[in-house]
Amino acid sequence: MNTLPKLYSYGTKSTTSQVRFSLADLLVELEHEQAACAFSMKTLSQSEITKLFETIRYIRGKKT
Amino acid sequence: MQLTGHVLIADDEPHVRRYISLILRALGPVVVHQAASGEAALTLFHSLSPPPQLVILDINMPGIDGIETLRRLRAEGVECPIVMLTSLATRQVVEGAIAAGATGYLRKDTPRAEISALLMDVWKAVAPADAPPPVESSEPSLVPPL
Repeated sequence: MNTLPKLYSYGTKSTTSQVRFSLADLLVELEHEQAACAFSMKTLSQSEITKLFETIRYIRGKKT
Repeated sequence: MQLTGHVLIADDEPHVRRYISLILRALGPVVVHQAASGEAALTLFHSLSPPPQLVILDINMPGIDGIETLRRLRAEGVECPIVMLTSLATRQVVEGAIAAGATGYLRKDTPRAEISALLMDVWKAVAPADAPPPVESSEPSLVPPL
């Protein structure tokens, strides 16, 4: 006699009882994380660094 | 306007310290103090009187790195301009330096004219208009004049 619950028995259509993230959402999130990593590891030129500092100074100046 | 006062350079590569010293001396009558590590930079900074008006830090150094040295100086309330000079220039590292309180950030492969311009910009932003020229220390200079 099969003691397994009907859900897991052979021949029945399995249903997922808990879904936290869909595969599509996970793939999108993974893509974003990879992009963010590449973004943070990008080597900046001196002019980009200078612009970044100017932006930060401008933001700090506005806050104070 | 000339760069005047005492400047502390921390870099584990002697030729980089020498190169930056030459650039600084071309900008004005500065007294350059040199350290080969983060720990040495902190010790030297605290031993100098008056304290340096400008600090230039490499990031990759033995012992504590430049970012940590910067963080410790800022934590002690040091407000003088601190410029990072490094070959590491990823956005992550640059943003880390900004967050730690860096005043400027220079790539080591930047042309000399740009390094001079940035150092002068940093200096102009903080220097008093009537800053007196520094008194040369009696110790022999490690860097010959230009």
